[in-house]
Amino acid sequence: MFAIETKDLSKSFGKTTVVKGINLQVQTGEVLGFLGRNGAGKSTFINMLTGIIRPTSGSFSLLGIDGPSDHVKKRIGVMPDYSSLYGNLTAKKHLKYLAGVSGKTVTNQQCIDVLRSVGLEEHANQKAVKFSIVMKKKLGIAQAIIHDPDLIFLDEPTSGLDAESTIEIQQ
Amino acid sequence: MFSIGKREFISLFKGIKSIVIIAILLVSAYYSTKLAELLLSTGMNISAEERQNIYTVGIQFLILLFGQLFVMGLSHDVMNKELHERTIRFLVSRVARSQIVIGKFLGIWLFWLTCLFVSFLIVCVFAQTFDIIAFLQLTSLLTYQISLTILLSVLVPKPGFTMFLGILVGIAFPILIAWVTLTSNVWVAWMRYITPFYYIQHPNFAFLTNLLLSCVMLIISIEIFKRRDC
Ligand SMILES: Nc1ncnc2c1ncn2[C@@H]1O[C@H](COP(=O)(O)OP(=O)(O)OP(=O)(O)O)[C@@H](O)[C@H]1O
Ligand SMILES: [Mg+2]
Repeated sequence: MFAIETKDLSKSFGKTTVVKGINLQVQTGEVLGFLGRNGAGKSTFINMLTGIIRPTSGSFSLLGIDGPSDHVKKRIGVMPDYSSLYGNLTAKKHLKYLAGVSGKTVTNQQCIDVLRSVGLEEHANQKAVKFSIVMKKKLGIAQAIIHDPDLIFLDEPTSGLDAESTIEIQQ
Repeated sequence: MFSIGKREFISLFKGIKSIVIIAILLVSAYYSTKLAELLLSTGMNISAEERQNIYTVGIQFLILLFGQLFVMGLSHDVMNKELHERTIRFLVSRVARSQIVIGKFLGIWLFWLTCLFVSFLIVCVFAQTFDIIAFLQLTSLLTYQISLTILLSVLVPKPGFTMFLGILVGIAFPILIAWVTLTSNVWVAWMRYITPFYYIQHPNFAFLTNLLLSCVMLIISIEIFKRRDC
């Protein structure tokens, strides 16, 4: 079984084809990085796999389940390329709420543990509106892993970050 | 689905708009009973049927006239705000899109059911009667209004625009619906069958049709939302 398998996956916006016939196989346990110039279609490709946008043609499967599938959603973690957070929720409440949406109840301690792993521990009870861009990115990563997914998609988790934070996140 | 519903429900109680609307509802409930007592004391000719629901007549008028405005006022951006700010991406990557719409619907629905129930309880304390059929009729009306609000919020992408539309629809709809319900003009009279007032005119089970119409609107909302890139 492949963690990700795509067959001729394509996406067009109107007449412009942005992603054209991608065939890809990713093994379980593999970490795959995706490089390309700006506007190459990296985010578009990821968004198709994560159910954010609909493919124009082609097919894919995640964790052996043909997509787009609602069943596999509980088992994946996603940090989208651009997304504001829920401004009036604290970091901890973000994690509790979004884990709940994935069908998982998490304890305060689990939230704190995940926040610690991205270096946001001290800001657990601070509202997301007050976060800097880097802190938002870190919370974006935390919400992608809070429900302990089998497959994680991170879209530009380190862009705009200083070197220190980049190393922190890569660890 | 339930997490989304719960969050929607709780967040509806926050904010100045909700507090004002809840206050209006509860104060009207109280004065509704006073009005009824006043009417009864004048010794007017009141039929048994009218006597039955006279105590809640104030609440009924409030919801008939302003229900759509209230629901829109609080929830016009229930879907499009998250689409606009793209927080919806956190949800669509986690759960089926139908569950997002249904969850939001349940949260809003429970909020209004709670408000309406408390209003009727206030009336019940003073009048010692709980008009079940009027309660169910108003619930069906609110259900319709909530579904319409969700449909518009899915259809119209800009939160700023649904706010404007909400005020417009909120004020114009009751007037239009009352007109198509009561008119004998055959060109518009058919519209009464897809609007909610027609089904709650008499104390019977016709109000169930409003629930059916709500389901149809919700299904349309879900189908549109499923086809949308977020
Ligand atoms: N909703 C949309 N409608 C029309 N065009 C779009 C849409 N989304 C993306 N595009 C276009 O598709 C192309 C690829 O965009 P995408 O965001 O996938 O690139 P990317 O590789 O992630 O770039 P970056 O490195 O800047 O993140 C761009 O030219 C973009 O303008
Ligand atoms: Mg990108």
